Amino acid sequence: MRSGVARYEFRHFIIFGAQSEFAAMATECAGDQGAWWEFHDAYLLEGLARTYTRSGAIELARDEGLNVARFTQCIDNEEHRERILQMQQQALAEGVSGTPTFRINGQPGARSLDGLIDQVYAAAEAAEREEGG
Amino acid sequence: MKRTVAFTVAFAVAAVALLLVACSSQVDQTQTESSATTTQVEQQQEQAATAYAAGESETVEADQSAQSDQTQAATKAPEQEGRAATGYRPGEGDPATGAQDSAQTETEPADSSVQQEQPIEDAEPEQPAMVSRIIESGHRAGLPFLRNVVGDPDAPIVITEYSDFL
Repeated sequence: MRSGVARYEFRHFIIFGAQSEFAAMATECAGDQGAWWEFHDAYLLEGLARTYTRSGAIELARDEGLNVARFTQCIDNEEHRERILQMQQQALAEGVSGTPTFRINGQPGARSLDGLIDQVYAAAEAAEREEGG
Repeated sequence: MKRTVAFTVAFAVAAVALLLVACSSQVDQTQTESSATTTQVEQQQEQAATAYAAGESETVEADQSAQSDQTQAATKAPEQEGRAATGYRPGEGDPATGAQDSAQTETEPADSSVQQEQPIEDAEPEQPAMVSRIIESGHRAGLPFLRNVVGDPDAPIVITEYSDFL
């Protein structure tokens, strides 16, 4: 598969209430300063539970070298709350009911990694055929 | 002469009578003895019957005892299986266990089944290892990214993940 064929998008789908929503907002606030994936990794991959609290998120922002005052203002004002709620509404409209849910060009993704990889390769081949034809 | 003959005949008759009486007495005694023997035999038979009945009872008790033992053995078996399931191996420190060999026999297939499943377990850790490599090397290495999007924003294929951080 050649490069530039696919892109990956992470969308918030809140199912665990206020803590989940706070984590999503904190990540978006970090994204304002170019650290969206650092917070994503801290929350999802590294399992840094401390970051689910306000003080923990601020500590992580400091560790990542972000402007802490700006970050704190962002989370306190819930600047990205509306954006997150819009993602939630769109996901519900698309039939998402649990996490993680994958879509490949809007079509339901497989439940296994191998299945997802196969789907992406199939979609890439289809895209190349369309470009060639 | 006639008197002598008559006397002799009378004496013979008396003798025969005495013999008959004596014989009769002996027959009675024999009958009595026979009767006593019969009674004894009957008593022995009754005793034997009683003993047989007792033997049956003992046999039943023995069966019940055997069944009880089997029940106890059956009760112990799950305990042993349970212990085996929790990693306990009879003979490694529980002298109360009487069926160590059978328990070990029961445990061994479990071990062998675990060994059979070993290749599957060996195959599974690849995914966490892959995640570790991604975290160490960065899953966006060499890829453009902006906020929640990784890759070419104009790419024809869009892989979307809906997820929650918790």
